Amino acid sequence: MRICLSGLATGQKRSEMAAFEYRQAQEIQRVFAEHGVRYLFLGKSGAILLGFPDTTQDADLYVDKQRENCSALIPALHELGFELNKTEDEEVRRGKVLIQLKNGLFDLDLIFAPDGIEKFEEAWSRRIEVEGFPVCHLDDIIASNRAANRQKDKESLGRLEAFREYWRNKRKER
Amino acid sequence: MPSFRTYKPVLDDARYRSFDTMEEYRRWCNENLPEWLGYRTEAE
Repeated sequence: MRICLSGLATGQKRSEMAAFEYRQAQEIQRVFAEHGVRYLFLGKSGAILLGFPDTTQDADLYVDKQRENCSALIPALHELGFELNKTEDEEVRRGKVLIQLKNGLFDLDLIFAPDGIEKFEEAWSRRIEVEGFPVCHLDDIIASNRAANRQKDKESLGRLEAFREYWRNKRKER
Repeated sequence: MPSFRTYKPVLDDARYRSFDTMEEYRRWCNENLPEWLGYRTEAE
């Protein structure tokens, strides 16, 4: 584990930062596409993109751990405004299991091996494209949520499962 | 559209944090984060 405690690179106070917003997802989409980064929205940010009515303060991204993908991710993160030093760049390149970034305009969790999902390729094959956003299938979001087993996950699990029924029915109607 | 953002003690106090395994992450959450944040995986 490695923790860096110094302050925000952007000069913002945390209280001035907003919750994660649609336009930030658009920024991730645009910049990651430019750099050819393969990723999926996961967690609550993914569920929200699928229509789940909730809010979150960060984006959870499931990133393909292939070395070339991790290498492409580094300049993409810099372009998004995350200031990483050489050690941190190298940890991204290695694809550590979980990296939390809180030094940009929004908070970002990079997850390279989430609980409850075996392989990126399998999650990628099940992904849902929403307005161009690559999002983990709701089944994967729920499986990951259940496997994480945190109190906050348990609290939202029932609502997520109920939403899945609604979401499935809506997809059948199309 | 303006939105609320709340401060999460400990969790928001580092600009960068990395973990080698999810087990390590869970242990860190259990040992360091206030229970009311909801990140703990065990009743303590």
